[in-house]
Formats: sequence, structure tokens, C-alpha cells
Amino acid sequence: MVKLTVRDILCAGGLLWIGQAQGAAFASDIPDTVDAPSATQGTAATTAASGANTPGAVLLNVLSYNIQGLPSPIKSNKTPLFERIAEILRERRAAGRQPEIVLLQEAFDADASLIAENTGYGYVLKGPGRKAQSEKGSVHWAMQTRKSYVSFNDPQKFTGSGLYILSDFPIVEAQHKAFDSDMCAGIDCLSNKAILLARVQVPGISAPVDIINSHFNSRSSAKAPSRHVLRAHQRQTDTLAWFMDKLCVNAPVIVGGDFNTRQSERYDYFRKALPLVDAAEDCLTPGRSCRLGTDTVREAVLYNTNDKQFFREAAGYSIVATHIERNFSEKLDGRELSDHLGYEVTYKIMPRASQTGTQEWAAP
Amino acid sequence: MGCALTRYILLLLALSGASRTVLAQEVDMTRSGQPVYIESVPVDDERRKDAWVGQLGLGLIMSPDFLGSGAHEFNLRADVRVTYKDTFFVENNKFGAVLTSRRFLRAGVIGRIQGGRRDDLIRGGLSEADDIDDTLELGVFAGTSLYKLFLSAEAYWGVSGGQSGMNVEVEAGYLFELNSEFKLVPLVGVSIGSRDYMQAYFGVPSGHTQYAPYNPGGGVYDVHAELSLEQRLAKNWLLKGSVRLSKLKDNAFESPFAREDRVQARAFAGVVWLF
Repeated sequence: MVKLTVRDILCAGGLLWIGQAQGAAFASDIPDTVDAPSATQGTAATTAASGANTPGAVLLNVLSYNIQGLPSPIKSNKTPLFERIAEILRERRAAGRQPEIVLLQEAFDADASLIAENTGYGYVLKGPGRKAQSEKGSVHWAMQTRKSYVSFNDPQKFTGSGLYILSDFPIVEAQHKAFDSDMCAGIDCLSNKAILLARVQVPGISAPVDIINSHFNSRSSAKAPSRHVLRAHQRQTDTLAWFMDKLCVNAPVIVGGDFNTRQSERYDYFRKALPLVDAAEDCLTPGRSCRLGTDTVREAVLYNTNDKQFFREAAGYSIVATHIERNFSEKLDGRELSDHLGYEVTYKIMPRASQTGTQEWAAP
Repeated sequence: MGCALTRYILLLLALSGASRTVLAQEVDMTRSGQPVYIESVPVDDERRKDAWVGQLGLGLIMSPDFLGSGAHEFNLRADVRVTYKDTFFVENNKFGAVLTSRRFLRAGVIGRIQGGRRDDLIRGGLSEADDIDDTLELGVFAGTSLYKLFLSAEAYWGVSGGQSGMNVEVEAGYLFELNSEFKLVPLVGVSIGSRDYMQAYFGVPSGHTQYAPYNPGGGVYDVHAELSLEQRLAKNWLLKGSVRLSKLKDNAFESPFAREDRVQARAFAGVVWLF
């Protein structure tokens, strides 16, 4: 039998405090006031709860994860990896720490659906498939031969978009836009890449939150001339801007995915075209009480990554990132679960009307 | 020390579990079974296709006097391509309808007016008796593509005019897009004629006043390679060009009508307006 002393409890409490400080952000940890940046900011900015809480503020955990579910034979024996990813999400759900929203990319393989179906999420939105409508642009991929009658109007795709949005909360509306045929380059054109929007009714927030998931054109792995690839990426960015202008008018918006913006030229264009706040920049802004995960380094959430999350506030709500973590780094039998890490952000969404009270996790 | 650390960790886990329980009470841990699948709808597209789509062009064409002729000449030529609802089409001397349009297959019926030997036969050294009228041909076509490769086949049967044989054309090519405004399409193809078709265009009937009888067999009579290019000048304007070299196979080239040069050339350059 373990004999407990006061000293033991204090020591264990200390360990617990450290674990929580560097781990997931819990509701009671998230302060409303902005603390001065600590010396360790950027690796594990830690602050104690301070100040009054926000009435009706909601914490929302959003995970974006490119699971590298490429079709065989490009990648084989994927099912055990998908099962492990699902298992991790189940374990987290059992512990009450699951991301309420999961954005998956490259879920091309049919077995990837087990992540959607075996992790307890009540609502699943699957992105456009191979046959879903995508339009012929002015060039490329919709074959325009010199004979119009054997030219194909619809771009020919070998796989669907590979996008999923899993949600604990009701998805009240869903729309997508498959990129036109002139908005891709190289091998990426084989999949029906798209923008996927889920309008999610998050408890505690009067208006639905717009959640967008997308996967943009890759760079070197596209195996196409760099100018062409860059232009395709810029067109996808323009299309996301158009999509948001058209659909995301008054709601808080969270945009996540694999945007392939590690290259500064791409990132800069993206930021100029889209009036979004980079969740990592917001988190790492001096004075913010936002933490990075235990093994998460600054560059891995800022610019040295293709996985990103952004947000846009709405008239009635403000949003801040309170915790960011790169996760799913474990290996299964020596194999990485994916060539990407998960990119998980905890957002605090607060009504602008008042600034005192309590905050809670969004709950189903 | 190790034992103490173990105890701390055990206690840490216990406290941590208790802490999570507080949060977990707001989470549905009992959920099981299939999730609700939501279906998304495509956003209204701004690139709606008009019912009528096409291009009108004008350019200079260089072509042989007729199939198998060694003489070439230059002419002004209109390039007219019109489709209605992506189904009915007129493309220069061809017309038809797309009956099936799937992701990897387009097929339908097609017809064309096939020029016979030209009227100015004196230039070719032929007598007027060797003239072949224009022929209405009806047939079928199919096309498929894989990535930027494409393959198309057309089969025609002469139904009126100068010949009643069958002719098949098969082409395969690749689309190069050097940039968003410039496309290059190299292709290769073969032409296959039935015995009747070959006899009509290349055969010499017995009793011909000038040539000995010649009865070519059916089969491949022409292989060709073509390079076409499109340079976008403006949103609705293109500069188009193509060069095509054909090589006649023996069954055609040994015809007395196909003399002088086994290799024939065609070329076109013009400006096209898209609508």
C-alpha cells in the first residue's frame, strides 16, 4: 500500500501543475487577461489563471491532421496506422480530452473512413469525391484536344478530395468547392482537391461557427514546373478568398488544413489574400497567455510547416488561440503514423458583450 | 528516491484522472455506432457554361491538292468550331452529337464532308475522268484520356458521293502546358482504309486511258505526326498554329495518283476568337 504524506501530495501536485502547464489547455487554466511574455515564450509559454473569466466563453479544440492516406501502391499497409490514429482519438475521448473538431486531409484510402466512424464523433462531413463536380478552367487537365468533341469538360480525377470534418457538434450546413482544373498543377491534379465548409452549431455560441478544411497544391512533390505550381497555389488561395467572401459573412471562422505554405512566397500571398489571423502568430504574440504543447517548438507551428490553422472573428465574438500542439508523433512498429504531425489548436471564443463570468468547454 | 518518484507519479496519475473527470463530464463518452454523415453541396459556380460555346478563326492553310497529291497550295481558311450544350457540334467539315460523356469516355456519332480530288485537276496532271466527288461520310467516334494523354478514334462510312468504303482515324497525343497561356499538343496518328476506300482514292480501274490497273489492299495507308500550339493573346483571343506531316504507306504511295512525294505536309496559322 502506498503511504501518502503531505509532502508527497505537494510534490505530486507540483508535477501535475507542470504537466498541465505544458500539456493540454484546460478551462480553468485559460486566463482572460494578457500576461507579459515569459522568458520561455515560444516553447512553452505558461501562465497561471488570472483575472476574471468571460461569460459564455467557449473553448474549442480543433485538430488538423494530414494522415497521408495515399492510395496503394503509393503507400501500402496503411490500415494499422489508421487504426492507431483512431485509437489515440478514442483514448483521448475516454479521457475527455478529444478535439471536438477534426479536420483530416489525404484521407483518400477507403480504410481511412474508420477514423471517422470509430472515434465517437457524432457528425461526419466527407469532402467531394472523385466524381464530384469540379469545373474545367481555361487550361489544364480537362483535356482540350484540337477536336472539341473528344475534349473532356470535366476534369478527370483519380481520387476524391481526401477531406473529412469530424465533429462532436451538429453540422447544420455544409458546402464545398472543388478546385477548377486550372487550379492545380502536376500530380496533385489527380485528386479532386477542394475547400470544405462545415457550419457547426457549437454549444454556448449563438451563431454557428464556420469550419473550413482544405488541402492546397504541394510544391516539389507535384512534379511540375515551379512557376506553374505557384500559380496553381495562388489560384487556390484566390478561390478560398472568393469562397469565404461568398459564404462566411457573419460567423466566426476557423480555417485549417494542409495549405502547403511553408514557402514564404506562398505564405505571403495567402496572408495578403485572406483576412485571417494565423493562430500561431496570435498565440505567440507577446503578451498572449497562450501555450505550446510539450514537444512543440515555435517554428513547427509558425512558418516551418505546411499544416496551419487560421481564424477570423465575427462581429459578436472574439477569438484567441490559447494552446497549440503538434501531436501524433508516435511510431507504430517503427513507422510514422503519417509524414505530417497533427496541428491542434484550442480556441477561446468569447462574446463581445461582456467580459466577466465563467468559461466552459463546448460540450455536446 | 526511485520509490518516492513512483509514488509521486502514481499520485499524479490519480490527480490527473480526477481532473480530467471533471472535464469529461461534459463529453459524451458513451457515444457509439455510426456517425451522422452530412452531405455537402457544391457552391454555385461562377464559371457556368453557356449553351453555345465555340471559336471562329481565320488563317492561312497550306495543304496538298488532294490526298496523295504531291502538290501543295496556300489558301485562306476559316476555322469554325461550335458546340451546343456540349452535345451537338460542328467543327469545320465535321458535325455530330456526343451521345455519352463520362469521366473517361466521350463517344457519339459523327459525319463529315470529305473532299474528293480537287476540281483543278489539270494542275495535278490528271484527267477530268479521275475526279472524285465530295463524299458525305457518317460514322462514330470515341475519345478517352489519362492524365494529359489522350486517344481518339473515328470511323466513317461513305454514304454518298465518290466512295462507299470505310475509313478509320486513330490519334494519340499529349498536352503540354508550358505556362498558363501557351499549350503545345504533339500527336501521332494512323489512317486505315477499307479496300473500297483505297480503291476509290488510290486504285486505277482497268481500262484507264493513262495508267495501268492498280488495286490496293485495305489497311493502314497513312501515318502522321502533328504539332499544334495555342498562344492565348487575350481572354477571348488565341493564336493557333499546327504543322502536320503525313507519310503514305506503300499501298497508297504506289498508286499512280500519289506520286512525287511520299511525305505530305499541312500547316495552319491563324487567329481565333473564342465565344
